[in-house]
Amino acid sequence: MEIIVLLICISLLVALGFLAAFIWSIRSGQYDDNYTPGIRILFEDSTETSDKQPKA
Amino acid sequence: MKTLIYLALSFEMATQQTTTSTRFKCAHCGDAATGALTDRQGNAFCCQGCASVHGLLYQFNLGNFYELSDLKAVKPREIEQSRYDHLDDQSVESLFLSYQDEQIYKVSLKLPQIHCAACIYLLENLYRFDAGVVRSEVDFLKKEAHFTVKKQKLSFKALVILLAQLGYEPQLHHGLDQNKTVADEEKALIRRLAVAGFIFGNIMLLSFPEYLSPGGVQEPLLRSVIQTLIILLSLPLLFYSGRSYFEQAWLGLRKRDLNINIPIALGMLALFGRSVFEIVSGIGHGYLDSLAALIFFLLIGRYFQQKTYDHLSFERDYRSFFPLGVTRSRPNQANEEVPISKLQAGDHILVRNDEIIPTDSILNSTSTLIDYSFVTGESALQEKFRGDVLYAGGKIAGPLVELEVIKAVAQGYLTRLWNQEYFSKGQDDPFKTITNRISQYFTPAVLLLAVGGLLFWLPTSAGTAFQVFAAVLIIACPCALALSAPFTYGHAMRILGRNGLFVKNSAVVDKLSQLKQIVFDKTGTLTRRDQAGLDLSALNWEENDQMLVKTACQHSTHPLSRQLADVLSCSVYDHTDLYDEQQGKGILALIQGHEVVIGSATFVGLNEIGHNQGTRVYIRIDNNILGFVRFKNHYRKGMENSIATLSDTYTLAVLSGDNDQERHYLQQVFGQQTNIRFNQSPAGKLESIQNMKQHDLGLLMMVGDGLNDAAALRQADIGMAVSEKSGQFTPASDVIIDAEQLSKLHQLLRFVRQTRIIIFSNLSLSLIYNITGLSFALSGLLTPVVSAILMPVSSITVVLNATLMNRYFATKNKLR
Repeated sequence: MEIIVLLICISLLVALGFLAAFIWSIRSGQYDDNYTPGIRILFEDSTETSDKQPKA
Repeated sequence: MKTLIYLALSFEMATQQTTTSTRFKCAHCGDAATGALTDRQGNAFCCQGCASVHGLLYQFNLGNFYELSDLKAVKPREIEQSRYDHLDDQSVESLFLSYQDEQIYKVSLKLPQIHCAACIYLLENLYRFDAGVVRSEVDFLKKEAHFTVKKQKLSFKALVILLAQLGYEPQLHHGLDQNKTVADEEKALIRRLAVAGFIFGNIMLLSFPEYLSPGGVQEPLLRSVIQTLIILLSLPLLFYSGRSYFEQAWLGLRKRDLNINIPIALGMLALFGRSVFEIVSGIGHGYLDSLAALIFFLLIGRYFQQKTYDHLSFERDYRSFFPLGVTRSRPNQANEEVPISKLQAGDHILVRNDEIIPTDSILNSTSTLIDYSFVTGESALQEKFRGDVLYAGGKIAGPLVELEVIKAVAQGYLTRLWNQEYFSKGQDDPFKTITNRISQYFTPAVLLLAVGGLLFWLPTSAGTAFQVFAAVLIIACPCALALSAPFTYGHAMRILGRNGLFVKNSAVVDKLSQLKQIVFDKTGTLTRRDQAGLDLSALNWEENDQMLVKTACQHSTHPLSRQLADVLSCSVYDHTDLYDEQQGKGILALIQGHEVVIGSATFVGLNEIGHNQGTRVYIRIDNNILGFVRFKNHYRKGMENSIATLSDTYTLAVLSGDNDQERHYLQQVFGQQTNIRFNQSPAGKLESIQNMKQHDLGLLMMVGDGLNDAAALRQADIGMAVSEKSGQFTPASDVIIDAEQLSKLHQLLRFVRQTRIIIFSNLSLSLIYNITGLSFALSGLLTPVVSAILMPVSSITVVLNATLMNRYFATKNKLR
């Protein structure tokens, strides 16, 4: 039965990790714009110009 | 940059005499094109700007743009590069740059023209136009773009010019960036909500063994670990996630205002104290799961209520209407660009067409036309001559003029108007939200009941007495009550937002639902600002005459002839043999052997006729007077119907800065009893609003758009600003309405009125739950299970009820 105590603690730590990851993602601005990336992903790169593109 | 100019030159004007009336569509912006301007592939364009952007896009292999575009691409305006000269000034530049070092700078610019996927495509491929652009990223909803640029290759000014040439002229004004602090607050709320959700889930899971195993958890080790964890988890819940409720309750107590947060804070403390006491003394396992659910739901409600509109700003001061810098001309020296704050009396400044006069000054050029509609609401252009005093805020309509500054910006007319004290309204607004009105009765009732229960049980058993005292505070904690307003109004705000009515916060929805009087501005509100209509009915002409007139008008920079040229849809002749424009009189041209005269009555050879029918422009071709064009106000479509419906429910009034030539029409639309006042100055509008408020006929809303309404908008209980295009400047207000939706105002307001039904049904629901709970509590039967079920169930029914009823009323009012 002692093992369940250990498991509870481990599961809580894992969950805390996810909470931290979520808070980090808000802070780093990942939720600032949740509309434009959805449009951006649909653009096709025109290939013939790839030699003209400067290195960004 | 050079390529732009090169391309513009490489387009040839079609050489043959185009007289066909075939209609072309501009290959860039989709507007009507004459067919006179084409490129080698045979694409027609409406103007040189469109043609050069079109050519550029193909040159840099960005033809994809037209596949993505809705064929409503932004029409590039003619840019005078010198108007951005002030951006080279270090102090001005640093206002905009968010970061800079030796190599690069970063800047975020507001580009209100962003409207479709093609815009994103074009702007994010900006590096192909200029190698100086390292990275560009568009935020579509905010209509903003973030740029990282190499300093040596592309200066900030050059970047702005590049964007402007592509049709995306940045909004360069130093406004207060209110949206940023709002966004920060929202982020903080999300963090608190995330923590609360996390703790809520974990405490629930840890509580299950207690509820599910008969007789509770027996294992001593497991039991103590679970209980310790629950207490530990509830600490950040109470002191991080729930902190704002304690702060606001304390604030309310100090102000002697019994707001809803007081019973909430008491309930939280009772839940926490009672639970810790039970756990430590080993009686039971407490109510901490209910506490977690309570805080989690309350925060969700608060989040839901906080709807922000990224592209709108409800707070603007006069400075955001002014240009940043202006050209100062100096004797015997080159002109220089100075920030307007550095202007002093005696300076000579140059102001171009379409620019705003930054401060009160005297005209030094011969004459000019000024559009004061934004300041005064008067829609007709005013003609001013050398030596006249020009007040700040007018827009020059015509060629470049020289002005002599007589007052520094800080002492100008507009600045003084703005700095008067009625602009500092807002802090102690006496209006109480519906929730706080109810809690004035609710809070004392709960406290009385709790103390009553305590005193009633005290003689019997002290233990039960304190248990009942805590139980009453716990169960009476008005979770459902506190949620009903945020969810109802939050949902209503979303529905209104979808329909073009943007509300600043939920308290404004509450106010709107109790609205009694509406005051309208005329110019720009009831009428459209962009197209004061042209009445061509007094003209008797053929297509050939129209072509002659349009050809002649195209050469003119006078706004009236520009407007006339825009309205005529015929094609034009390429060649004008003679052209003469006389300031303030009219134009004379020789086209295809015909003499074309357009202008005032005397100019075309008629006797001046006294009239007050708006501005008339007469047209004569050879010896034949065709008649006149009348410039008249153009009322918004559907407005009459909307006003007729509104007048059933509300007291209406009109305050116009314009002259009274439309009195007859307006009186007809609004009804004979309606108070309609003309020639109102900004201060006059303000006084009228103050007077109306003194009569105490209920909440008053002012609907207006320009700077001339700004004071009145602030003074009214609710200020509604009309925005022609989203992202356009609007004065500080509580509500912003999309001009297109103004004719639906009666539907929108009916919907808002009906939210009261939703609020009251929700309040009755939550009161029923509270009474049920209280009967448990007072009889000393409240167990953790009852509390853990009652709390979420009551909250969820309130939320569901708010959502469903909102949807129902929205459909009923034909709203999206």
